[in-house]
Amino acid sequence: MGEIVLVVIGILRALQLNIYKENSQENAVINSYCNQLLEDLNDEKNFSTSYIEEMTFFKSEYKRYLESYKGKDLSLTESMKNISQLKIKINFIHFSSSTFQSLEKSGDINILSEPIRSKLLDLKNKQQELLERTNLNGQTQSRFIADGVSAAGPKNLSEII
Amino acid sequence: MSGDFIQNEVRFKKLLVQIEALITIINTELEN
Repeated sequence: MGEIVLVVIGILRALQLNIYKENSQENAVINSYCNQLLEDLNDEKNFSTSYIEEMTFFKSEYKRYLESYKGKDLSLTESMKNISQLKIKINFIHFSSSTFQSLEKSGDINILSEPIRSKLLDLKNKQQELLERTNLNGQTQSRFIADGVSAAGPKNLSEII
Repeated sequence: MSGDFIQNEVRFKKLLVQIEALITIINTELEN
């Protein structure tokens, strides 16, 4: 009887150790992912902050551009020159998603806690939405400028550029 | 066009809030 009890205790202890080992390994993986995510998020934070600063500058630049039309009857060439002098560049928007992609591909996203997982998925959806909208706006803006330059004609183009 | 700037600025500001919230949650979990 005593031997059976000892064997059962031994098995339970082995199971306990195994669970502890598995939990430790999983925690190490989670911590590693969390640290990688933090690196990505800090990059995204820096990028977003500088993008907001640029947007603020562009808004004032665009206001200045609109002011240049006030009370003036500008020719097409002058208008296009005005547009080309706008210090607005279409920046390439990028987000650091390598960790997120590997989390998704490996299925390891499920080992993250629910608050992190849901907020991460929500953030990635918003970023994707923003990328699609901005790319569409960028294409419209480029087309607008290209159409304007083409309407001004090759002769006026050299004056503009 | 200025509408795009304003919209993008607002969207990026919202993203920034989300990013900062996520950073806080991850840091809290790493500490525990």
